[in-house]
Amino acid sequence: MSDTQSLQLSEKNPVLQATAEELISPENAYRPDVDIYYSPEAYLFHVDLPGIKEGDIQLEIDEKNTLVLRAKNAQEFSGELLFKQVALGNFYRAFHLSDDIDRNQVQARFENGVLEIQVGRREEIKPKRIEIKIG
Amino acid sequence: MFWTLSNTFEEMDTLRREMEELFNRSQRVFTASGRNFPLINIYNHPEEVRVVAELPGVQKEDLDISYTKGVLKLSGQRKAAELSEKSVQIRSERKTGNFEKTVKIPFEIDADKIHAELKNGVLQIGLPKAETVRTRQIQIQA
Repeated sequence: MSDTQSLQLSEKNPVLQATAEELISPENAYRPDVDIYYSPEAYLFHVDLPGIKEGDIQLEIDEKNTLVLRAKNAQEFSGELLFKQVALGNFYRAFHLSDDIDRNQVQARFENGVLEIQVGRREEIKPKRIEIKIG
Repeated sequence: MFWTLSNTFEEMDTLRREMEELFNRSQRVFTASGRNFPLINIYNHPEEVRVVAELPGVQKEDLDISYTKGVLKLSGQRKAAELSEKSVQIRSERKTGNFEKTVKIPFEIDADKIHAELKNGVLQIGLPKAETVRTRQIQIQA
């Protein structure tokens, strides 16, 4: 891929899903549903993690700007299982973030089984409107 | 031919598996109402049936639970995030909007005693079985 192509790609998709290789977690894992938004100030992630304890969620941004989420649904239910759709066990998701993220502006909160992650963008890279004079 | 013990157990196991399959099939008919939300598990207890439903991001006041003639209905709304106009959505996997799911309960239920709890995005509903269908321990007379 040429530099131009890769630049175009990163402009169109500021958040890319990590490649298949990176998506394979150490253990077998489920894929939680994710919504992603971006604004001039930040990237925002909403992840469905119902029934998971806050202590069972691990979140990191590694040195390659990859946001990695690991979680474990360790709920225990008693009784004879008659019908099953709920996934219990490990969850994993990873996303490549663009280079303009501000590592000092990362926040996460967990409410009603939804994890919200906010990753700030650096001032200097934010697009600015400029007037161009001709002449 | 003797009806051996192991044969009896095999027969019982086959019967059990067939019952399970039948139950799953009946649920499929009832749960195949388009979008698969919420996901549910159903557990059988001697005293009650418990339904576990995953409802991340759904507020208590946006959720409606009803039980009529052997069918439990979960309906409600999952609201989309309220964000500034400058926000652009670049990935959308979480379903929002109205949902409805019906579950056929294969036991007679004491409807007045149904109880529900919503915690961490998980709804747990307990449906106590009617006295008439509960398993009873039989005391053997001396």
